[in-house]
Amino acid sequence: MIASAIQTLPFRRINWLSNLAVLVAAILALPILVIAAYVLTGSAEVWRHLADTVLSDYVINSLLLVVGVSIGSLLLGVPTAWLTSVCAFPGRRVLTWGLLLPMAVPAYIIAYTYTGLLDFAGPVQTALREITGLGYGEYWFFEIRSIEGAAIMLALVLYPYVYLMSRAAFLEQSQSTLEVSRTLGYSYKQSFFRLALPLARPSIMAGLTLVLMETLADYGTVKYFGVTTFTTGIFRTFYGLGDAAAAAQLAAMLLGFVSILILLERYSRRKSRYHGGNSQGKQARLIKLEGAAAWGATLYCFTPVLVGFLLPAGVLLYWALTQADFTAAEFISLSWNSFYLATTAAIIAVVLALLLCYAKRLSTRHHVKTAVTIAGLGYALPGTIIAIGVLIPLAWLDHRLIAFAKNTFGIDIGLVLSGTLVALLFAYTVRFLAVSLGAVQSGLDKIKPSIDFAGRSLGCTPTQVLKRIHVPLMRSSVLTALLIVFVDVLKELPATLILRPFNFNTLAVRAFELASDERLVDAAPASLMIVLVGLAPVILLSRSIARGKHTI
Amino acid sequence: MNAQPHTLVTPLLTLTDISIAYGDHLAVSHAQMQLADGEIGCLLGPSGCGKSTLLRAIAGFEPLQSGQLSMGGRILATNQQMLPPEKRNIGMVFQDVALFPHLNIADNIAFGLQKLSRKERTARITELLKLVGLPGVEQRFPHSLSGGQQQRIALARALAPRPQLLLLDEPFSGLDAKLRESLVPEVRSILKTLGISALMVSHDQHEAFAIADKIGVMNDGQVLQWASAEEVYNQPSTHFVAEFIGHGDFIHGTVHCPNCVDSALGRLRSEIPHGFNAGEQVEVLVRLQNVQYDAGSPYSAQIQQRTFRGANILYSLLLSNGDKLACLTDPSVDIPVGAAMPIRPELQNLVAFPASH
Repeated sequence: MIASAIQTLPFRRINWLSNLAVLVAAILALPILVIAAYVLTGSAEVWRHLADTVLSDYVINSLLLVVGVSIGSLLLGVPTAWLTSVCAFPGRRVLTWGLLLPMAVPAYIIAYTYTGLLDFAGPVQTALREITGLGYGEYWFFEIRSIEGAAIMLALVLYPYVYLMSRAAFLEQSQSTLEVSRTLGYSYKQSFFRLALPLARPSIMAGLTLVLMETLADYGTVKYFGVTTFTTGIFRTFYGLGDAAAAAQLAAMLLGFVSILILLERYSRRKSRYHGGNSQGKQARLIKLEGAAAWGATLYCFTPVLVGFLLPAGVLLYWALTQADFTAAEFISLSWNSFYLATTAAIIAVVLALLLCYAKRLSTRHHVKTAVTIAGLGYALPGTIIAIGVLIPLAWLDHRLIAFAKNTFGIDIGLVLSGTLVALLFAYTVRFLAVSLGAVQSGLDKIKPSIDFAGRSLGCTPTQVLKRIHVPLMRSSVLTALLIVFVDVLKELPATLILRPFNFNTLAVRAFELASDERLVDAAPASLMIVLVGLAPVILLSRSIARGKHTI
Repeated sequence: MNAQPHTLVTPLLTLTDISIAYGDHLAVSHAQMQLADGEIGCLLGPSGCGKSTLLRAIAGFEPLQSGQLSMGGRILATNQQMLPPEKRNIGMVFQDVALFPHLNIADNIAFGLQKLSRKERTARITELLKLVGLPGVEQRFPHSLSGGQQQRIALARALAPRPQLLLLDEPFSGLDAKLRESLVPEVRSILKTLGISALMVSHDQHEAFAIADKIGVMNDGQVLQWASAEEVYNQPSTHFVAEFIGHGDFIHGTVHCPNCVDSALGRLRSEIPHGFNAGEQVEVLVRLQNVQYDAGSPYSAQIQQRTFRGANILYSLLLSNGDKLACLTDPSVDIPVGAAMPIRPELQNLVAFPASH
């Protein structure tokens, strides 16, 4: 009597899904594997040439940059986190989320904005000359287009990672921990250095590694400032020497640096489990700062907001409204390109994230978990590496396809993969899948398995459970994921520069090109657009902080 | 304890030789039991004994490795096939409540009522909210209710589609002791009013006794005994059941005749045969009420611990052969720790198990 209603054991369908997940992960891992393969097989000659000439520059400059950005982002991120989470001073509430604003500004945009302000022809030096009457070469002024300048620019927009992570750690420290130290005879200052800071160290390290990953991945800033690092080296080798293999080998070396950072981050996260374990969720009472200390705190916290966001955004706005030579038609066409590219990439990334997360949820098998981890690795990789890793296999495949089409149909199909948006979308997916995975996974984690079971026992088929329970519950996480990937793609520069089809421009690419041509003012409208769109996830983040969740 | 007026009613749920495996690990092995129509059963056992797994298999969330599961003449699952959960007409209440956070109370309860008209649905919701004692909360959201209220709503939601059988997976374990004490009998009376069959999972003996007609004691994946509370308490089938239910002590002895055993407390006699042959070494179950203080008794035990409990005093005793016992006395009986206490065994029937060493 039940023969018609009965179903076979549900394993086969789950197998199908988990196999698909493994396949997706394998495809997404392809660029990394290609790079890795080149390390073993690449040509020795170009490599030796590089090693003899520029390699030491790349290593030294990259390391100097890492040191400089570390110092800068720690100085900006940690004290502000401590002040906003533990002390009471004027403007604390506004500054708590205001300190996140610089995240919306891509490093290359802040770099050329400050160049426009501070270089010889800029308003600051011009005013200086007018006031003092000095001429060219008769006075010293900070050279922004230098490795120090690059480090400052990067620190200004990347410190919010350190700020966020250390703030979360400071908030987690229970009041009693600090009170114990006071009863044991420590002053506030001593408690900070001997207790709060060491306790927060794992989180600070985690934030710093994120900053450094972004630093190593940066192309726009260092290129614009003429600092030779790994990323510019990869570009130069790829375009200048036309040697994909050597570029890949450089990329692999950079990958080595990044891997060290990833391991460091994992390690610090492992240790971070020790702290905050017994925090009762009780918000510590704020230390009330008085007089000069209070205004000093306000000033200290306001400076990064001013220099990292308000000033550059204001300058961009001024340029865009008054001086920019930028036609509306071009602006609309660029925006359209950027928007549909970012939308498509966001949809792909979120659909794949949903697929991977559901496969992980439904399968108990270990290799699905591994697959999801591998699929999320791309976020740690600089865009240049991914671009090279995408281009090499796609170009190979294209040439096979061209030969096949010519022999079979007698037509020339051209570069259907590497010469089109396919390559770009593939690269974006590899790079940003981790972002959508994170958002989707955290949404899915909130739907306990028993919720699914409850739906089934109330008469829903698995499809109905998906429709009536998961879709409404997942909506906000999916939208968040779409938004974050959208914004990340919109800001992305190096991979877009390498992989974009001929004559295809986006806001980011055009802004960078105009700036590189010293048309800083004309680049402002596109840059302003990127910054404004970039504000959206920052607002989301600050809202979740306001609700008391301090995740990154 | 409640009598069982309907034990002879046809069985509703039948588990035949059911085994469930996770990989190589056998979570449930050869479980066998029957739940009658209108009966409330409870699977009782320590955590990890497989009771929740068995419940989930009945609901349709775990495949069977062997055996057969049937309800009201329908086969629900075999090792070959399984009817999906949504087709089983079995309701379930979960330990973590699992109310849908995006729906209000009315929509939560109406979730399984899609086939009804809007009017019928509203009427059913009102009726159920009244039944679980929470009228008027239709428009509220789950997070605005307390834990006990949420569990009542979960019960209403599970009952709404009028399931043939209701499963409850440790429904009270998330609640505090006081609330549990009042909610357990209330849930029993709701289920009995509706005449619905239910199977609950619990690790708490008092909870099981308070709610169930039949208790299935489980350990290590096996259903050791499936019987009424009285039977499980008075005639435990295994050493584990005797120990797990009602905390029994055991004294060693040698079988003398089919109705008697020689022990450190003399010859213990039983009205019905204990089932062992003369000369066999056994352990005899002795509950707290089976040991009486008797100043005239020839047998005594050394007092190891004395706990004043207000209405009485609890003595922990050690027999000369190393067996441990407990004895509850009137507060007037006050003997210091270390002294000997004269005691008399008072057993009607002997529950004996083979000696473990």
